[in-house]
Amino acid sequence: MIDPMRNRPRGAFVIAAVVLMLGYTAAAQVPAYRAPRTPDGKPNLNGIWQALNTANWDLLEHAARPALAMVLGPAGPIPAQAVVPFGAVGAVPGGIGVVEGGEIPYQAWAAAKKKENADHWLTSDPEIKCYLPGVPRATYLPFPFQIVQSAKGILMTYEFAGAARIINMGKPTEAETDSWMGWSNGHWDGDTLVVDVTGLNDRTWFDRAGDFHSEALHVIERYTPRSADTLLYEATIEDPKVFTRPWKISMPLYRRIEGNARLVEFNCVEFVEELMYGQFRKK
Amino acid sequence: MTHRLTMAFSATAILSCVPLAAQTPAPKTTPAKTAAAKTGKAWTAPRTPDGHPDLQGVWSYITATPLETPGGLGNSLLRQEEADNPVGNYNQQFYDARPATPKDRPPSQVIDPPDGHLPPLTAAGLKRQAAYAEKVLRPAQGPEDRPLFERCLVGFNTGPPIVPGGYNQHLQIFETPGTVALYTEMIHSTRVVPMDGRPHGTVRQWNGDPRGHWEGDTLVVDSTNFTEQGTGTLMLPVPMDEHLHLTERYSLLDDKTLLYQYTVDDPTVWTKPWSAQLYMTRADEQLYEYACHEGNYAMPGILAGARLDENKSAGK
Repeated sequence: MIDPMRNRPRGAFVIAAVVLMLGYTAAAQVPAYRAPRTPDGKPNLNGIWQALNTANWDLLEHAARPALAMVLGPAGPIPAQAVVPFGAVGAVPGGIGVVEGGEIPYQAWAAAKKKENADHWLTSDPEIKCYLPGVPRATYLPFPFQIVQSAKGILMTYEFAGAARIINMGKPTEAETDSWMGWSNGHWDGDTLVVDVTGLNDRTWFDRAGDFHSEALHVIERYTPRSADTLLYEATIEDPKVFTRPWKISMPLYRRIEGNARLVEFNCVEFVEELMYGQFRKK
Repeated sequence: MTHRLTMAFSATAILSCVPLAAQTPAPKTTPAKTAAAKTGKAWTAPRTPDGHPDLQGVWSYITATPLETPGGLGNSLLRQEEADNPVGNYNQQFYDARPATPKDRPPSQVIDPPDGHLPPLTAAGLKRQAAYAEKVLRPAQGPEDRPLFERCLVGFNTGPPIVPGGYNQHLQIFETPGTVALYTEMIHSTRVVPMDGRPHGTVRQWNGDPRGHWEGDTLVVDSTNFTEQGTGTLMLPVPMDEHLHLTERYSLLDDKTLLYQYTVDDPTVWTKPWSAQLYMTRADEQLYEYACHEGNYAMPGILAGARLDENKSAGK
């Protein structure tokens, strides 16, 4: 269910919520498709995948806006001086949103915190410092990622910051401590790869709109083949410290079908040295 | 496990203090014998579904075998820096315990030249080494003065090539038809190696541009297109440059042993190619996240300290 229902009557929200609670998933709405198999008989998810949406800007439906950073001008918001030279290149694209029901169910204090995050985005978003993006954000950053799937293990390696996750497909193990990319236990549910992610720290965000979570975050991801070159990606998000109920995002992922497709290093640590350490340079 | 976990989540800190000098020189012994040669019967590697040797799993590259036999080039710069700046070091809790080198294995990782010493540097290589030393030994003017691994751009033992040292010395290999992935725990470094025969690209990368193929039961990874700044190798006397052509060979000797051999051909730095090898051992471990950059409190500390010293000297 990619199209949010923001403009539908309130009743639709309730129904959507109830459906979510009952455990129905958007996977049920995907036309039956049987994915090619790996030699051990599992759906073959190997390949380079990428989201084509603006979820990293804002999980919710949002209009385009003039610039990355805005300030209050004499007649309303205007681009901040530092980004004025970028013109249309520096503008932010709009998007239709990826949250089922079109609402992120923040607790009251958390809604205020999200707004504060958004207001101080330029100094607060961990993406700006090239920090590991966490889950689910790694999936829909505007960079490809690669699934390396064998019978003995699954590696998900992301172009952004060289982030990586190993999906444990054996007996589930518990996270021994928190980390940026979390602790991933996977299993197959029919043709769907289900990844249960815990052990995430509280330092990553969901998007550039300030959407955030605590270290109690629990993400249940579902990767379902829906055609030869697309997957349906769904993530159910639970965090009782921040939200009033579980909520869910969903989006298609597209295969990078170029014959010579590959990940190209994006070692952004180097790119942010001036930002992070420039103040300490010898003058 | 608890010990390993501590390692994985420790901040970068002063990596330059890894005590190369503490490596115990091993005595000269007889040449290497493979497990097969030792037992006198051929051992066949298990296969992946597409018929290739199955190298998958977690491998430890912890070793007590020094890079060189005594008297080699080594990384004298490290020892110099440690002597000049006795600021202390990680305690032994940090370092992987290293088993002794079995007597039937070479006394050094370097096997060619046969004396176990790295070959001499070229004139340009010596100049590069001197320039590198000047940068590293002076109060850091900016992050670029510090080694690549202190900047969290590469891991200090991940290479390529993998040259052991310190901690988090684990490699996990994934094999699929057409692709092999080499994932090192140190600084979560992934190399996705195309096995489909495509030619090298032209983009220079920190980890180079790897291409793989099978030679018999050996996985061969051929890498070019490294950057001018070098790779993640703390233990070498000089960072290699963009002319590096690296050939790595991964061979299963038995279920528990992966022989890792490599040849470094970097004619602007070394007077001749050289080769080394390691015996990796299968590890019953899961890899942890080593978030280097996210915990790099050392870099602002080093730089701010250098500025503080300058201000003090200037009487400010």
